[in-house]
Amino acid sequence: MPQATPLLQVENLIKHFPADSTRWFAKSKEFVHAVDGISFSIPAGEVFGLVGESGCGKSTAARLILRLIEPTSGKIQFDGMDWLALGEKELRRQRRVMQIIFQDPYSSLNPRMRIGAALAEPFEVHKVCSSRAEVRSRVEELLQMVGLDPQAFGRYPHEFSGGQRQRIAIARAIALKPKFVVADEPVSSLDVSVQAQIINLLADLREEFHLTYLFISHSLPVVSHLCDRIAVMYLGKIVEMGSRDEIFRNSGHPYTRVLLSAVLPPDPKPKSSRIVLRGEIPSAVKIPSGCRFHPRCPIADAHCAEAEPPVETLSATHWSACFKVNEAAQLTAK
Amino acid sequence: MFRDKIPPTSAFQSLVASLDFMDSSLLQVSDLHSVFHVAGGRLRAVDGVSFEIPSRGTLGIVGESGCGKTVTALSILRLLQPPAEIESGSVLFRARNNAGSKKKGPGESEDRPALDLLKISERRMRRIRGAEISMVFQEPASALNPVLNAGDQIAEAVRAHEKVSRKESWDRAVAMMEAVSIPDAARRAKEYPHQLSGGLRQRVMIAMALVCRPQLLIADEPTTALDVTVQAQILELLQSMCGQYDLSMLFISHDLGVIAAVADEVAVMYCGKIVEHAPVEELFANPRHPYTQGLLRSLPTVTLGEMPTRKLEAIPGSVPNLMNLSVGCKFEPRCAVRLEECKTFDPPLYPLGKNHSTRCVLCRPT
Ligand SMILES: Nc1ncnc2c1ncn2[C@@H]1O[C@H](COP(=O)(O)OP(=O)(O)OP(=O)(O)O)[C@@H](O)[C@H]1O
Ligand SMILES: Nc1ncnc2c1ncn2[C@@H]1O[C@H](COP(=O)(O)OP(=O)(O)O)[C@@H](O)[C@H]1O
Ligand code: SF4
Ligand code: SF4
Ligand SMILES: [Mg+2]
Ligand SMILES: [Mg+2]
Repeated sequence: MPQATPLLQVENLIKHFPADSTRWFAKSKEFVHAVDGISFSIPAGEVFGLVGESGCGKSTAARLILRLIEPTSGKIQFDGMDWLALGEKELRRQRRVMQIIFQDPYSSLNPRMRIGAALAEPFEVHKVCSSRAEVRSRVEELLQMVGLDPQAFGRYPHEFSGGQRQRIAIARAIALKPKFVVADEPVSSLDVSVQAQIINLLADLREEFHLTYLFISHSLPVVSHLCDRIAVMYLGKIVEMGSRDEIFRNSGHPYTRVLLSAVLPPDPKPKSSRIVLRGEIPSAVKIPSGCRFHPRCPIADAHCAEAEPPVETLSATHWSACFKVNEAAQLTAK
Repeated sequence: MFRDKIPPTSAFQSLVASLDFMDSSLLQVSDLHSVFHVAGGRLRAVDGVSFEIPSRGTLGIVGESGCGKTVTALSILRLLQPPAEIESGSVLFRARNNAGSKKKGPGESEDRPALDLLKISERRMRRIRGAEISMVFQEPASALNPVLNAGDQIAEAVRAHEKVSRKESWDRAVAMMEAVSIPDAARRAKEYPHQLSGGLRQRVMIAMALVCRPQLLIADEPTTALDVTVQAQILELLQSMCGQYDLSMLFISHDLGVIAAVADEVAVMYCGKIVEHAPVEELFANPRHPYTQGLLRSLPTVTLGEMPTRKLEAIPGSVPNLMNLSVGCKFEPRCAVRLEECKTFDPPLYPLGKNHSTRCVLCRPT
């Protein structure tokens, strides 16, 4: 594990949205605890995975890091800078080193813009090319890099398939050779046969440009192929963090183990090896007391409803926020 | 079975079909063609699909977005709306002698006549829809009526098919909600769809689909919009319902893992056609079509205790636009083992024995 100074360091980041702002009669003191105090750091060159079910706060975390929204509280250090202290102008200048790839390749591209123009935009905005010919050759180079026909220049987004559009979005994100890329569910809207292409492309680009990724997904199998370390999120908090091996082979949190056992392998034989959880993820407005997973946890006891579990260190790189890590580590399907 | 040989005259076709409509099947789709009339011609969304659904069994249809899964399901129920239309084919269904009667006794199925659902009147079809064949959709939020509470939606489904009082239909609705494990059903019945979570809405959809005790449930991506932990609950529920109510199921999904967990037989679709059909164990142990093989290799899969691998094997290219398909094998542009003839020759489904068939020249009997 590279222990250099981290490229990104997030400390106790919190984002509370006012709850139900559309209902004027709603109690005004209620908040959506979208991100409820998360901390992690990502060394340069690492792929860090953030995993959890929908609504657990993954995209909110991404938007906070990109400063598309401002946090309620917390600290973000990026590339040695106090990232949250940057003013508008300085932030715009720094944006080129931090890029995002969104889930939906349809909405992240302007439908009326030819892709050549869409890809030329970053070069023009940041004035990095000296001539139009140079812009053009950079765009062709980009298209080639993400596996598209360099002659596809003059075509519009609708003329491309979902996977191809995601390649264009990736090309745009890497155009200015960023240091850090946030990929928020980059393959979730793609066909199965195309997901693997995009995962492989992201892996190749990482090698080639020494990129650092924050890779967000609701699917553990998807992150497993790319990530070095993984954090599992539940209701606004990280409940477990560890290296990829530790998370998959040796998880010490019941929720992670449930997520893993809910993965259905393409194999009809082991039909009964699932831990089926009761209930659904509760509303982020009314966070359960104590351990926020306790209403659904298969091994919860009375104590779990009263106090918040501390972080249990399992190795230098692995921790779990659970009172019963030993029991959790034994948890398998009945 | 090998149906590509059947000549395309529909009278002959349904005759032949009814002759080999096996006693063990509940529904048989033969050479179904459904099209969309779009600018520039006809888009062949379902292009000669044939399959049987065994009684008390589950057929899984798996395929990527746009391959024709939903259009197949809607064709069976005759729910396609213009500009879509069924062009030809037959859908034989062994309806109950009188709709709404009790469960069938053993051995009774042989006597029941098979109806061609594509030929009966709309009035007759309405008696079958919801009562004998029901459907559960991918997005429960849009399939439920937003201004009716959960109990009323289900009660209305009862009254559409049976002459019962409001009170009785409401009680049936609540009982059905209990049967699909909705906690506190009597109170939940009074809630509206937007007050329910995704998982509960899907349970309400299932309750509504099953309340008239259909013989066949068509589930179109019933868990795709749900989180994995909720998906596991819904799959468990559907499977227990199948056992309890003697249901047959047509289960549609793009997810091979889900299909492996629920199906007895699997049909793999690509560009409007079934490219491989086999019993579930056989399909996953011995996939024969290059597309099926590629899909299985490209899946990111890893479960508890397993070590994930680094690189995935992807299928190159993407699903082609159905409007400009080549004349040959539809998978040819992406196929790693294609032959010269695949450009111009579109193979039929070749039988491989044991109910296994595949649409690939490499499996042509010699
Ligand atoms: N309203 C429409 N007009 C024209 N073509 C359509 C329309 N709806 C669907 N199609 C086309 O019909 C084909 C089959 O669509 P269908 O909805 O059956 O796909 P599917 O297999 O269910 O896909 P998904 O997994 O995305 O639900 C697709 O190529 C699609 O583009
Ligand atoms: N602008 C907003 N206003 C109010 N609530 C929000 C807003 N954005 C997100 N949320 C809520 O915050 C929680 C986390 O959302 P999100 O970060 O999008 O989750 P994820 O990406 O993990 O699915 C959810 O409960 C969501 O409804
Ligand atoms: S602290 Fe208690 S409720 Fe929370 S995950 Fe651990 S065992 Fe379950
Ligand atoms: S028929 Fe030819 S192109 Fe089609 S799947 Fe078989 S080998 Fe590949
Ligand atoms: Mg999100
Ligand atoms: Mg569909």
